Amino acid sequence: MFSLDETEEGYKVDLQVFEGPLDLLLHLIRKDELDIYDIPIGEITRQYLDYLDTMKRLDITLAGEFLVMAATLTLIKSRSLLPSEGTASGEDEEEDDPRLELVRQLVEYKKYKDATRTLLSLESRQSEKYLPGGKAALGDSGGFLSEEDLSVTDILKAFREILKNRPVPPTGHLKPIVWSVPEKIELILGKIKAAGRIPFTALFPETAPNGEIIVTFLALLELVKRSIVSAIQESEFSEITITQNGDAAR
Amino acid sequence: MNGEEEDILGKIAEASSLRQILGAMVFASPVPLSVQTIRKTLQSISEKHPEAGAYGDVSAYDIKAALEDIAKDLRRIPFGMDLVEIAGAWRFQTQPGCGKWVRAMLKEDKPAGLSQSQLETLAIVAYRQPISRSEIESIRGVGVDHTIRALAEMRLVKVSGRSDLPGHPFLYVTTSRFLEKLGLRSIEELYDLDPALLRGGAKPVQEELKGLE
Repeated sequence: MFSLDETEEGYKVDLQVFEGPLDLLLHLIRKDELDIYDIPIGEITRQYLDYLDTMKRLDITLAGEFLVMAATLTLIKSRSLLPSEGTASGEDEEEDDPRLELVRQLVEYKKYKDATRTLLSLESRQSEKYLPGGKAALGDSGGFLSEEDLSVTDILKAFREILKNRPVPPTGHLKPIVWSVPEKIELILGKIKAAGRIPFTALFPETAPNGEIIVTFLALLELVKRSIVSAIQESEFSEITITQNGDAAR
Repeated sequence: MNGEEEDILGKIAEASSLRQILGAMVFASPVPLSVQTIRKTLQSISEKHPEAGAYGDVSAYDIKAALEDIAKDLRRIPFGMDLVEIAGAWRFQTQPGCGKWVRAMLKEDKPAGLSQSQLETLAIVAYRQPISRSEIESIRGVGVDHTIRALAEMRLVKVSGRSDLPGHPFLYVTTSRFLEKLGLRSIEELYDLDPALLRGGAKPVQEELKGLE
């Protein structure tokens, strides 16, 4: 299954992929030829945790189910170490066997895992057959699309197709309004020239869309950076006013 | 009715035994042919052309028997081809032993098989149907959400309804397409291969457990 042998070339890793925690447990049981109905829980738990540890060291992410099983195994192990309450009668002891549920699960899983072999051999046998015209026999001949084989998913799929193929109802075309920084610079300068000084908030009408507000602000920053205008605040929290620099000079 | 047509009908009447007609129909059909379809065809031609339709009242049983008969004869001669019933419909297909050569002639690769998780999930659905996703998950010990969706996409399983359990989960069953994929006559044929796996077959496990106590 897995081994981490330190050799001269480094680590040689041999990993087997498991379908889930039950698959892994079955492998551990089979490997040591253990009796599935009398699992040495301590030993199995150790080997199981070893595997998880190896995977962790190799940075391989395991499904959460593997961790749940690790917890279950540890719980069973600790329970089996505790003295049973009903030690008076032997029968109780059997019923209290904490492994019972796990064994039941393992046996059940093993049944279907074994059945998988039947399906696999049927499938591989079928893969050797061909239909007149050269179609693979295990492929979809299209002969079994009867009504009874339609499921809700098929109906949903068909419905989605209809929706997809429906012509889109004609709608009016909205042209995006684009603002440019140079345009806003002109506008701000124009306003200042007209009024001499303008309050900061007057540049940003409440109804203006976000895009316009942002572009106006950028234009203002640009003007301040180039020292064409100044932003003045008389006192904390008071209104900021914008004035043009070197008004007199111009 | 013109002379030409009469001539053709004359030939139909003289040429064909039921076996010949059935063999030809199955061979020429683009899809596997069910006994019901064959029967309806025989009935409709005998209504339209009473003189040609000598098989208008052949029973489904007789049709099936005749097809089985051809299948048996085909198996006797080394012809590389079988007449088989798959999911209740008949078709010709090549014999598995010739797969290698047919594949080379078609210049094809071996078709990809189902994955281990798909096979495990299919096995559980096949033997325990109808079954909910959470039941499958409790048997396999891992989530099957992705797997079951892939199987449904391949039309190997389908939703048959909803369970009465809380949350009314979907119940899954196998499809005719599943039988086709595995080359099975019916789901019972699969059960016969391993009868202990049926829903009722959970009992032996309990007994085994008891035997150990």
